Amino acid sequence: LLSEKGLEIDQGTLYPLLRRLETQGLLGSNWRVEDARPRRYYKLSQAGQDNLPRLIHEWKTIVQMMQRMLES
Amino acid sequence: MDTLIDRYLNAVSENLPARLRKDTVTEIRSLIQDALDDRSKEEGRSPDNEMMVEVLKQFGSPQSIVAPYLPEKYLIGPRLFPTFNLVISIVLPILAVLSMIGFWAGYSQPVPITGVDLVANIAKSIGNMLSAVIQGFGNIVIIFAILQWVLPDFRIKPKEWDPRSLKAVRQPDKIKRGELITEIFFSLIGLIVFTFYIDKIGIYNYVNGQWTFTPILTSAFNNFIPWLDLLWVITILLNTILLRRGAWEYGTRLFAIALYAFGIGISASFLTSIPYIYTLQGAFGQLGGASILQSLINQVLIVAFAVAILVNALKIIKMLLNMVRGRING
Repeated sequence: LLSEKGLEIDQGTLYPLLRRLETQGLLGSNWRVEDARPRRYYKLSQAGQDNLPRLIHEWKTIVQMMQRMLES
Repeated sequence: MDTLIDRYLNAVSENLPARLRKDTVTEIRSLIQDALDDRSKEEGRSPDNEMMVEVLKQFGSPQSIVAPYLPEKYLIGPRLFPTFNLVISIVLPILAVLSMIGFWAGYSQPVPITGVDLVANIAKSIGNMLSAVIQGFGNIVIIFAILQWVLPDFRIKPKEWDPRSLKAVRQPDKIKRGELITEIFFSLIGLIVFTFYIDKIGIYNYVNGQWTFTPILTSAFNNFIPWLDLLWVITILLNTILLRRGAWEYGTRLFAIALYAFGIGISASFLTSIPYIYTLQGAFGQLGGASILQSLINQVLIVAFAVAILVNALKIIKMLLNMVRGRING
């Protein structure tokens, strides 16, 4: 899904990051068995949902600031 | 029979802490199997050993795949490290000095000390000092490692910071005028007293309305006077040069090292001649306490001269370090 959106990220980077977000309480996870194989699914927790607008705002501010710097 | 993937996951689990092991290994197993399935579809053949090798190579070594899952681990973390440095810089020099004083204060061999004894004991005292310092360092590391383990988020409450509290920039070449002038003053006093008034050094008693005088320094002490005079004259000369030049230079540092080495030589000679350089017989002989007092004074003198040797040795090391730093910084 991520690579379809153009974000190529190594598994060895992505999954530990998801784990860290889970440790911080921003994500929750549960195991499901699919095709006789256990898979872990991550989803936004309540704290994650509460923090998401602030994080999106911070991200957009950084992108805008970088854009202004690159243009000038 | 275990597959390469089983072996890989076994190695992965060995590198993980117990609380992360089960979940992480299951997750990585599922990712490897997905990757194997994808490759099998791409190549149109069922997975075999060779394909597993390729997939596992993509994932990297067990240590490298585990590393991002682990929190950064420190024996002493960056938050505790400045405090650790502060404690080390205070405690280790104190331990070194105490160990040196302890060794020489407990020196129980008969005086006079022979030259061989002296060298052997200096080496032994330095060995003891190093051992005390290393042991102290080890204990402090253990205490801080325990603190790091028990209180990983330990931090000292930041005080309000004031730029005026910043330390002055270190200027190793800068001379300390006050110190140099004081040294010149005391060297001059030593020179005058021990050259012109040596016969006035002793114990004065006021008995029956009359002053009596008993010399305590022996003729053996007089043999040291030319060397002491030379030491004081060189000290005055060096300090005068430093005051005129206004800063330490390569030549003056070499000069100072020679002077400190000379100081070590004189202290060592005194150390081997303690019972000969003074006498209390004339002063306390009648009271009968001379031998006890003498052994006490001997012990004090042993410590004093040993400390003088240590201080001069440390000064030489400091000079050498400053010379090397000066060369490196150009």
